[in-house]
Amino acid sequence: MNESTARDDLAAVDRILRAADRTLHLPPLVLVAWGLCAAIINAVHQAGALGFPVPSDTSFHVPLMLVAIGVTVWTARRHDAERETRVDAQAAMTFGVALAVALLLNVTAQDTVIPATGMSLFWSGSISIALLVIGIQASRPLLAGGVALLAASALAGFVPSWFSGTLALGWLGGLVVPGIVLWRRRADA
Amino acid sequence: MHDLLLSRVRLAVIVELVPVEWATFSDLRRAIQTTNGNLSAHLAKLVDGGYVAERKRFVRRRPQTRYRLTETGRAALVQHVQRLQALIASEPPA
Repeated sequence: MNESTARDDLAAVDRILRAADRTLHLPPLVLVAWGLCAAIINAVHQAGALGFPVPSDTSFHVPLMLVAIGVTVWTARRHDAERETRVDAQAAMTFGVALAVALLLNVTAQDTVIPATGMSLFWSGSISIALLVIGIQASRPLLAGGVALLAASALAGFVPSWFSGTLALGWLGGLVVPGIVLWRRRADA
Repeated sequence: MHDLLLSRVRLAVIVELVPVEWATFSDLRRAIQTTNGNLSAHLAKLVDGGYVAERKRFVRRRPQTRYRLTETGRAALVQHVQRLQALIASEPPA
């Protein structure tokens, strides 16, 4: 190999690395599914707090979460991305850990140690952390969603009579809206 | 120099895999702009050399082959780039 070939090879390496795709390819349906699941749960709690007749927690919490988990697994199996970037892998790990921790504590500690309202706040707090961590690195819609969910979580404590309603709005703004934005961007691409 | 990386196509494959966890065959073909047969042959050499790991699976009932850069491949690329830089530095200016 001579100097000219070496320069060409280094230029090719540089060109490929500069043009590399480092964007997020998170399936938007997963965000929408979990966002709707959490928003419905909180909206039903709010309806109960306002005096409307609502079903018992266990009768709709478990089915809704199973639907969200099912959608996540189904989407992951059908996800036909051509490549997985580093931030994709990090997003999958961050959301996976946040969901697993919240789910575990939900199953083991709700109503025995953590009251239902505290658990709701724990869910929104942990998912807002995941949204902020990934959003700061790679996605403005997720960053905005993280801010919205965190703001709703913080605000909910100041309006006890609308605690669950505020969180429901936070979930819609935190996951459903960013999911729809990412979906539309993908459709436009 | 790493012999496997003296080919421009193989070098491009390795570099394409640096910033990603994995990429599919069709994605690499589009990025490198080469033919199926040519890319297959080069990828086979990289897989045999342990530079790239291959994984086949079905997505929506269609076969999909994914490639991931191994630690051996990453280390080989770093060494190769260092040697290219050393070669350029050792040449007297024209």
